[in-house]
Amino acid sequence: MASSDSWIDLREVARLVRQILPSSGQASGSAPPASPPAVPLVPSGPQFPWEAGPDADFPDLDDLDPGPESDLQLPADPELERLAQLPSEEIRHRATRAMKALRAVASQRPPATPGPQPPRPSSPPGNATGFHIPETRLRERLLAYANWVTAVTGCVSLRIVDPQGYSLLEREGENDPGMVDCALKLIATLEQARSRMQPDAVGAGLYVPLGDDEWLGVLECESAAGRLCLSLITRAPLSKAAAAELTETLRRTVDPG
Amino acid sequence: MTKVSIASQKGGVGKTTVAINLAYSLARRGWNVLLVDSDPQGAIGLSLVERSFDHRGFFDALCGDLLAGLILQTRVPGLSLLPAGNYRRYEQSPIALDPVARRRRTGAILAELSSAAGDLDLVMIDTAGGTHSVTGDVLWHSDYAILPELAEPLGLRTLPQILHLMADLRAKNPPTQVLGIVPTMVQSDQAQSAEVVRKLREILPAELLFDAVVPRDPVFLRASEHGVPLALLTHHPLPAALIFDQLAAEVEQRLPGFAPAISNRTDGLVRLMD
Repeated sequence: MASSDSWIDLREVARLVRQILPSSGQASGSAPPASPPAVPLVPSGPQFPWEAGPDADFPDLDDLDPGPESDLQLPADPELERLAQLPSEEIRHRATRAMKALRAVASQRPPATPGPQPPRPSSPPGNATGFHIPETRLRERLLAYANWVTAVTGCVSLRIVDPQGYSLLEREGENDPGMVDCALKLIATLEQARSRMQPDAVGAGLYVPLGDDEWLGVLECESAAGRLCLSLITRAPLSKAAAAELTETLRRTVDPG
Repeated sequence: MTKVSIASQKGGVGKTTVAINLAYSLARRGWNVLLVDSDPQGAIGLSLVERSFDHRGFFDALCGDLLAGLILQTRVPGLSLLPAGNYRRYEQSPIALDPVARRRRTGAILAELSSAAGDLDLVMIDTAGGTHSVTGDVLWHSDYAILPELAEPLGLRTLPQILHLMADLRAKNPPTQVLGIVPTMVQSDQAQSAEVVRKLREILPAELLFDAVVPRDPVFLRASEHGVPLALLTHHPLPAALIFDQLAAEVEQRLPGFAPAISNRTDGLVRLMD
C-alpha cells in the first residue's frame, strides 16, 4: 500500500497520544506537561484596528447606551385593531404596498450608510447581573438570552450552535447563514492551532468583517452540555470584556444550576 | 462498578460485535457484567433478543422509567442486558430537547445501574457511531472508553480524528480514560489490512493499543444470524471467539482492581503444584 505517512500527521498523533495517556493528564493528579512558553502570533499582513491594543477603540457593553425603556414598548395602535377587522385580501394588499415602499427606500440608501439601529432596553447593558435567567425550559432561557444579547450588542443576527453545527437557536437578520457555517469551518481549521491560540482565553473570539460596518463575531464557550458556539453580527467587534460576559452568561443560561 | 464505553466516530467498525463478545467473555471469567445498548438502532437487542422491540430499555430510562424493570437477565451467569428500548418515545420527549437535563439523566442512570442490576463489577456500554448527543453524554459519564479501529487504510487515516475526540474528552472530563484501541475487521491475508495493523503498532504506544485484534470472519455473520455471542455458536470455541478471551484478559490487566492474581507473579507463570 502507499505510505501512510503522507496521509496522517504523525507529529499530531504523538501530541494527541501524550494528551490521552493517563500519565500525561490531570487524572493522575500530576500537573500537565510543560508546554513551550506562549509566543504571541504576529501576523505579517497589514495592521487592523483591533490589533492596536486590548480593547482599543471598540465599544464595551457598558458603552452601548440602550436608550430609554420606552423605546421597547409598543404603543397601543388603533390601526392594528382596525387591521384585525379587515378581510385577509385587504391586509395582503396593504402589505404588498408597504413592501414596495420599503424596497424603494432601500434602493435609495447610500451603500456605506449604516442601517437603522435596533431598539435597546434601558437596563444597564454589559452587566451580567442585568440578565436574570428565567427558571424555565432551556429553549425559553435561550430565547431570553438572545433577547438580552440583541439588546446589549445591537446585533442583527444571532445563532447558537453545538460543536457539530446543530442549531440550538437561530435569529436570522439579513445575513447569509452560510457565512456562519463558513466561520464555523474556519474555527474547525484553527483547531489544530488551538493550543497556541488559547481559544479558552477570556474574551477570545473570531471576528470577520462583512463590509458596511458589520462584523460577524464567533464566540465559544464551554457549558455543561459541551462546547457551544455563539455567532452574531454587530456594528463593531466586541471588546474582550464584552465577549467574556456574553459567553459566561450563555454558559449560565444553559446550565443555571 | 466500572463503566466502559465502546465508541467510535465511524459507524460499522464493529462496536456492537466487540461489546457483545467482550461482555460475554468477561462474564465467563467471573465478573458481573451489564451490557447496555445506547445505540438508537438497538443493535445489541436485535443481535441477542427476539422481539427486542417489545422490551423497554435505556431510552425509556432517559424518559424517566425506573431501571429495575428494564434489565434483562441472560442465561449466562453474570451477564445481564439493558436493551436500547423505545428510541422514538425518547425522541418525542422533552428531555431530547434539553441537552443539559439529558446529560444529567444519563449520569444518574449509569450511577443507579449498580443498585438496579445487583452487585455489578462492570457496565459495558455500546454507543451509536459519532460523538454527539447521547453518545457524548455516555462517554462523558464513562470511566473508560474502548475504541475499535477499522484495519483498513481509511481507518488509519481517521486515527487522528478519534485521538482528537479522546484528547478533547479527556481535557473536559479527566476521569474518562482510553482503555485501548482495538483493531477490527483485520484481514491478515490482505497486505493493506496487515500493514494498517503494523502501522498502528508503530505509531501508538503499547498502553494505548490492545494486543488482540478482531478478524473479519464469516463466523460473525453466522453468530449474528443465530443471535448468539461467537463463543456460543459451536460447542468447541472457534478461533475468532478466543480472540475475545484474549481481549478480556487484557481489559482485566488494564482496569484497576480487575487484574487477577497471576499478574502479580514475577515469573508470569503459575504451576499447578508447588
